[in-house]
Amino acid sequence: MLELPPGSDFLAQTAQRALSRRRFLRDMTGAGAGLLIGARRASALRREYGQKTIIVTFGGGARDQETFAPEGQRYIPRILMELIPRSTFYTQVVNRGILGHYVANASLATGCYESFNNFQSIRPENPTIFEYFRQDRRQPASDVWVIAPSNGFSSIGESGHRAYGRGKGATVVLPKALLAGVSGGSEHTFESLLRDSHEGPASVGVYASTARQDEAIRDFLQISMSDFKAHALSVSSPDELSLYIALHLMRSKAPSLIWITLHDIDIAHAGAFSLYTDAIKRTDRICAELVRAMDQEPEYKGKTNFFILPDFGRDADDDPSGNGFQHHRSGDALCRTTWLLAMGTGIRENTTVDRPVESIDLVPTVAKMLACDARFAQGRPLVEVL
Amino acid sequence: MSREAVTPFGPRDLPPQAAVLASQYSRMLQQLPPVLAAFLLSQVRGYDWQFPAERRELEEQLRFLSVSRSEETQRILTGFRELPVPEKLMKNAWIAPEAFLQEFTAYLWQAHAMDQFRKCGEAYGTILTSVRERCASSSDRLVIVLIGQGARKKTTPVFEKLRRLGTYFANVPEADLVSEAVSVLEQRALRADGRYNCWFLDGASTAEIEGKPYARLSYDELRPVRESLAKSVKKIMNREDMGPEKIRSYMMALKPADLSGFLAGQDEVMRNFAVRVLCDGSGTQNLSTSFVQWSTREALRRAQPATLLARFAPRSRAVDFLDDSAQRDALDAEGALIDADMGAYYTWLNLKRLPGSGRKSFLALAENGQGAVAIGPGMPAGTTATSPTDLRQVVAWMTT
Repeated sequence: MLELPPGSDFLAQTAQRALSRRRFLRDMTGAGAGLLIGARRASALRREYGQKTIIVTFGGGARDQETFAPEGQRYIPRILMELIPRSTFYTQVVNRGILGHYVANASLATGCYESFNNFQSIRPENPTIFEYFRQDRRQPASDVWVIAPSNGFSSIGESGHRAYGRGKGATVVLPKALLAGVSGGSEHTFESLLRDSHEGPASVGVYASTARQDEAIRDFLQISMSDFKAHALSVSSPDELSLYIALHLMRSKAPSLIWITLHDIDIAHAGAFSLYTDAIKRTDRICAELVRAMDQEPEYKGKTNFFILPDFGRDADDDPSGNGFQHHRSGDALCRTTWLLAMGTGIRENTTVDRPVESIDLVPTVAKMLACDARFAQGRPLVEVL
Repeated sequence: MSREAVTPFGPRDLPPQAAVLASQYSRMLQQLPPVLAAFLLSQVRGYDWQFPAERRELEEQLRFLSVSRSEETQRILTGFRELPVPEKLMKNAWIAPEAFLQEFTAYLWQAHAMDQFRKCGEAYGTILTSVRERCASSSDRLVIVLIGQGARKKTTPVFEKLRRLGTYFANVPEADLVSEAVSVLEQRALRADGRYNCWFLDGASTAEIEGKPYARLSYDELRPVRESLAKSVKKIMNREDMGPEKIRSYMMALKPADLSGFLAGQDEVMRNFAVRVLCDGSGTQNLSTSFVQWSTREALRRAQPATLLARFAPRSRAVDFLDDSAQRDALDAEGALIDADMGAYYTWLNLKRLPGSGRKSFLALAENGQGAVAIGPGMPAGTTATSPTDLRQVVAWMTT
């Protein structure tokens, strides 16, 4: 429900927050970090891109305070110590779209601010990076995968655009749906893994509608469902299921483009700070494990572009129209401003970019790297990594 | 477009006192921009069960809007009029304001007009602020927060955010902390005017303090209400058209009469408050720690009490909003300590937001022996006191 924000100078707050954000992120990356100021210099240096791309959304919804701010750095030790030194880091990534997880992720994937109902499984209006890549590079569905957290995301792989669309996008795996499909009536055993959404009090519909997702996908994945089920018994979070599927894909199929949407952090809607920060620590670890796999798997080692970015932030503590970290509804500056980490073949290491960019800039950037044309994307390429 | 062109005035099924209030200001409400009319009418609907402080604010807000002709007010109203409102939503603003606000919120996101709305809201905030200041009590306020029940000592650093705002007392004996805090509350309640001027919000049970002269709500005593709520939600959630948004709307429309399990003798205002705490904010405040944080925020915002005691307790490890049996399983005191530490900080922020010229004193204490932080008059920020001090002494320093 809409609430009226109270009186305050929002614009001044936004400016102040942006300033302090840039400062602490630059401090965090250390005195040795390079700082790119002009785009011209950047674009003159970079030519060779990786042949593979892995994109991880650090979802769903993490704030500066619990990630790159001084008090938050304790929650992301692996990203700070292992990944940042190898990365070009964008300190201000603004999401000007709808702050709902599915629609925001769809916007990331299309490079346009999609505006459909977040709570319905609707195909994005604009073509996705998966479709651009497959069409322009004539790649099969097995070469482009999305691993997504909940029912709603089942339509993220391909758009409703008439020039692209059905059958031309990514293969979408919903690990929870796979698990529900093989749980053999023991769903209660996996209750904590099968929750579809943290946005409301009920896991609506759970996996009834997709519980059979996809014998075809299972066959396509060529994954042992008994191993998967056994693994599910040993983990406590849905994102760990996604990691399992991602690692399996990297080893067995080595697709050119993998998009992994993590979502554990959205447990913050329960209002328990410890659960929220535990999820951030887990997400940090999962990101590091994916990078380790990239470094180790021969198909990916030395030839991969790797991106991590949150879909958006969460409400600020000092915005009375929200309730701090719990939700992402106020649309305030903290909610909209996040970061992006790019690493991999030919991407500058230990570099910080302070200019504001937008989350929809990801698709044109990846498209350039994968030599396809994101012709309908509204974002602009991130020249510092191209 | 004005309301008259659209539909007859008046939300359906207004409670008696709300209906009188709406009719008193019907002319003014009809002339307001739709979003503002809906916002005010949704508040009017709850009037019969509002606390005295929020009633005063709502009445003053309506009075101000009906008499103010200032350029500034007109500029603010014009801002709201310029917000895009789809024709099909318009009529609901005056007859079903809650549904209107829900749909309009979704529309604002979709139309990328949320920033425009925020600007209007911030401008209107200047009116709200002056209304709140005019209505506010001038009495001093004291909030005490207890965290760390059942947690081991020093496994987790606490009060990191609060310490820089006040004085940290490193040596506060944890024995009798709860009874001392309750005793301070009781003494202040006996001196205070007004039924909802002193509160105790407990993450476990307050059974031992039956019949005391303050408003109280505890997580344990609301268990039957939560079970009733879960039953009600489960019943509708399997309907095919039910998604998170519809369930949320359903919960927001629930009233005490729709649920059962309330304590005998609890008045309608408190029952209503309890239902709103459980059902608003998406209805996800079902862990004991989030219950205390959210109910404390709402009690401060709505009742504006002179004294409030909030006590966090261990929470369930499982997060299942619709299964209270999960809550009774293994409890997590260490996780709850982290939740409560943040909850204490949020409580300070919410106390700070209250209007009024009285002094605001805040005291957070760790029941697991990790000291206390006092913020308020005479408590220098960012300092540490190491000599032994008890709760009463710190309260006395702040309030006398």
